[in-house]
Amino acid sequence: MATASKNPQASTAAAVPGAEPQYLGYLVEFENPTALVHAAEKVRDSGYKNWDAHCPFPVHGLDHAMGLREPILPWIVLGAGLTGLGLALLMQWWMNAYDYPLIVSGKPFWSIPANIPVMFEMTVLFSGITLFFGMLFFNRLPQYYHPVFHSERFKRATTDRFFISLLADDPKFNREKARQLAESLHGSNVEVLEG
Amino acid sequence: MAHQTYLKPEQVKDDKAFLGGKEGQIMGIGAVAAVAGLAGALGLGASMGDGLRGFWFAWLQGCFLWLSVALGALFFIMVIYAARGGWNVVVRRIAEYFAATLPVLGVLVLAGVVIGGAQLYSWHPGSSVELEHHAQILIGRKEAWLNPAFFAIRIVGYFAIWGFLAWYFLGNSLKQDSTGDVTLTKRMWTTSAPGLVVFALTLTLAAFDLLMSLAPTWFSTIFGVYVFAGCVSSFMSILCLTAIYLQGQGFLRRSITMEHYHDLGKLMFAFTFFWGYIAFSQYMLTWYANMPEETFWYMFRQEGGWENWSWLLLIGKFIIPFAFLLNRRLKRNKLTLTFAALWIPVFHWVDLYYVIMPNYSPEKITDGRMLFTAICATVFVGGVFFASAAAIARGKAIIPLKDPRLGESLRFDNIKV
Amino acid sequence: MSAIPANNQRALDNTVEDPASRPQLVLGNHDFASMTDVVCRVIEAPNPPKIWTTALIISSLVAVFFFSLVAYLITKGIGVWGNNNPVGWAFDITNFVFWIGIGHAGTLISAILYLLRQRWRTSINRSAEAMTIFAVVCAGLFPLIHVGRIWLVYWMFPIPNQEWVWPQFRSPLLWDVFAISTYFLVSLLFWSMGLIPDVATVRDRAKGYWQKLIYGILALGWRGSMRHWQVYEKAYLLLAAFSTPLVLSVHSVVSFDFATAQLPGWHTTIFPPYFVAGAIFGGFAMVVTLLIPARKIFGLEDIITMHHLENCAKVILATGMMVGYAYATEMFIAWYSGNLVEQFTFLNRAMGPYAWAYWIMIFCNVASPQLFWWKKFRTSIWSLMVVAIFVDIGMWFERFVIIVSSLNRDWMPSSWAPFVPTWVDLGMLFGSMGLFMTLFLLFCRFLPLIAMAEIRGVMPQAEVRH
Repeated sequence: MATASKNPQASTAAAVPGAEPQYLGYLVEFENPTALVHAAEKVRDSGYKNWDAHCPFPVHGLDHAMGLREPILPWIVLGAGLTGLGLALLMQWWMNAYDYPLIVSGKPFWSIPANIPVMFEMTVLFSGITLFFGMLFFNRLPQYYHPVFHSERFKRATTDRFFISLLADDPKFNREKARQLAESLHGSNVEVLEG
Repeated sequence: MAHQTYLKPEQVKDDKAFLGGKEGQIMGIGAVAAVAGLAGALGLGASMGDGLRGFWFAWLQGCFLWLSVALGALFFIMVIYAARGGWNVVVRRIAEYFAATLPVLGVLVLAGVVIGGAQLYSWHPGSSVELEHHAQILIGRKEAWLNPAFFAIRIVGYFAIWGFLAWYFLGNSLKQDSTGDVTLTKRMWTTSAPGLVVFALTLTLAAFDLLMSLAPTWFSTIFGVYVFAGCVSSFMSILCLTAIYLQGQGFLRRSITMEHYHDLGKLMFAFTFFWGYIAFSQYMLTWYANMPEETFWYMFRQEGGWENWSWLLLIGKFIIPFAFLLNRRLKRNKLTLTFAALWIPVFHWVDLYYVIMPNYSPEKITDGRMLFTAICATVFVGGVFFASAAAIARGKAIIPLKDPRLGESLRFDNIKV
Repeated sequence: MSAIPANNQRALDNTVEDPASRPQLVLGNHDFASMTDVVCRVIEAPNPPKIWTTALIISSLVAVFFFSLVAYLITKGIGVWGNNNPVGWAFDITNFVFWIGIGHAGTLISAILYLLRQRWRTSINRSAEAMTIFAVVCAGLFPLIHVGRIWLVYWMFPIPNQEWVWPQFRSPLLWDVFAISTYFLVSLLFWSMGLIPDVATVRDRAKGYWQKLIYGILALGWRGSMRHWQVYEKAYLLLAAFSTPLVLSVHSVVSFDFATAQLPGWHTTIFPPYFVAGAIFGGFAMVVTLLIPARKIFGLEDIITMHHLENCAKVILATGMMVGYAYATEMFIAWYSGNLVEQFTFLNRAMGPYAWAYWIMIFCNVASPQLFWWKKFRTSIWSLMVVAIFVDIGMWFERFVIIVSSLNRDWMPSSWAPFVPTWVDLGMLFGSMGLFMTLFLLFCRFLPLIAMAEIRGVMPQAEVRH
């Protein structure tokens, strides 16, 4: 793992001798959620696209500060739930009333009241599985490589530090402007990501 | 992030927190509605030519709808204190006024079961209903419980307990308006939990007595919970409607926010679902075991036109409000929330009709006069209910002014908690 | 780091109730880093506490004993149990319902309390959810081995078999198959989802190669991205919203196993909500039983505070009252029904051959939680522990009473027969506890016992100031 340098001026120095390190972006560190929210508002207003905020817990109001849109996951889950519901009804009808009808305790072949528990369970099952894997899908997880992992300091992003990352793979990325933006955020530390 | 400025607790009294003359108007409208409703119900009831038997069924129906709201209110108040709740302080006083009408409703219910008891209850010695032999034996076994004197004493007892609880909480809450004494809140915290225990027992027994014993051989252990579920969802709706109405009239405009409505909407949703769950449990278990001594209750309701009413109940009381209130945006929009809050009590009424009226006549679903008598009776009791709530609120604030958790409630934000 | 602004005298005792403020949920002046240290120390300590090692050895031996009994049962047949005719269900189904019920508290804490915005849940939800999963594992084994021919168990699933007969969906036992498998899967997903950010914390603190590798893989590359958090929180909320009716449905379906029957004592309409309340009651008691030692052994008293335990006690009291309400309603309606068989069943419960079990149940479930009306007993470790253990016992007896006392004397006196457990019955009840404890002990040591990310969100430092 490449060691990241502590300040942007030193960023031209190669981390690995002999190989020019690839330049990946900026990482700005903050000590508390309030500073992060204010900085996020600034980056949002700058029009920068490929950036992110990192925090050890979901900071309230940060999604608004970042200008994130509501996720569409709930609608997909609704679809999945209805699919489970319909499938359960169809399955019970087909198996017990159509394909192999069997008289049991004097109930009709197709007994809706008796089918409701399984319909309910399958609705929840389909929705639950969709929620979990839908969350992973929309977040592109698992993703074991990411530029921010080059930073040693970033290890504290899952404990007690707050970060904003500005990534270089934005098509409009301008190194100088990104540096200015990074420094204008009043973070406790600014770091160049390279590796 | 939205920088909303919230009202401070000490500013609440200036947010049109007193009815200031409005109560006279509400009482007037209530009185007119009550008189008109009673006249209509009596007229229609007399026209049915059954010696006012239908009228007394309608009376019970009308009383029970508003009793549901008042009992839901009492539950809401006590559960807030027991759970040390905070978000709901701004709407609690309205609930307190609703609950405080319980003694008035008690007089109406008592009048119904004393004067109309022989017409309503076939276990009553004065009843003219011809019971089958096995039913006579079964009822004979429970005569110690189902006899007019003990029945009336129990009804008085339930309402005495509820009235005491309602006025205890209203009284202390009003006292806090002037003194701001925090120990009052602490005292109510302590009393609310045993209060809920007493409430659960009395509500269950009242449901058994007033509604279940209409079919005296029928029994269902879940019935008290069934009635309770209906009470809470219709109370939440009426609370919501009242708050929307008051805000429309310029009251509490800044105290009650969309956040509070959103939570009320969630509770309406939750108790709609809960009712569906309880109703399904009762129905499914009865249907599945298929034992004659309990299935007949549902058989009455699946024949002679009542099957349509059953479908109406399933779709109207469960499926539609459930699907409607799932969406967050519809709960956070006053117009759509008003629609839901109107819908739910209407279908609670449909539910009560479904429970009560087949005992009047399993065949007579097609008789429109019964339906209109019940509507008139509901208007009558509704008029009494709102007029008495307004009379109790005269000169008093319609929001707790010095509750220690008022600030928390004013600042409440649903999504970011 | 910013210091905790609240006055520290009050923070020492967060069970003092003050209407004007809310109690501190994390004590000991912790900041994010020191709180994380406290939690991660359990995993990172080079040597586990001795008592943990001892407990693990004992419970894994008991678990081995349990599996030996399962093997014995499969080879010999279920005749090794004391089940007979008419008592076709006895310890097996009692244990099944008992363990399933234990699981319900975990879902209540993680889902229902989440929807109710009960912030104190954050200290106990992770371990309670783990408990749910392990309890469902224990529960699921009993019906599985009770089918007798376990190698044909796939006949219960809607997959084609050699007879071309489909499962029979009008049977409550089949609803159970769906309810329990759904419950297990959804609880597992819910738990895993909560674990992702916390495992990432452990990954970032890991020193050793294997720890880095394993926690690294398990953390899925979580980087605390707010874009992720947003979807994550939405999904978490919805999972909670689905788990809430799910937990109602699971124990309701379990209650249908009994209540759809015509047997007096089983067929009563209040069973679904009554079973759910009882499940939460027993489950909370188990949470308290496990967490009181765990917080002590792993030094988590600042996070699982007396305030949390007191709240558990309140839930135990509330659900205990609901259970008492159901007992009373059943008794009353048995009399009110005028049905002689129904009346006999309930008198037989209280005065028949299994009256001792009935009165143990009443004492443990109705009488003992009454202590929790007093704050003194809600905030004392010893009374909490004693009542919780009573409730654990009482809830096992409740299922025993419902099942055995109703079955052993039903309609026809000529077919009455008593039930006597065999040593295999008793061994399996005991053995399943070993399995449960083994899984729970392993969880404590290898996964974060506390939902750290959620705790941070309820600490005062998390507040965004304007």
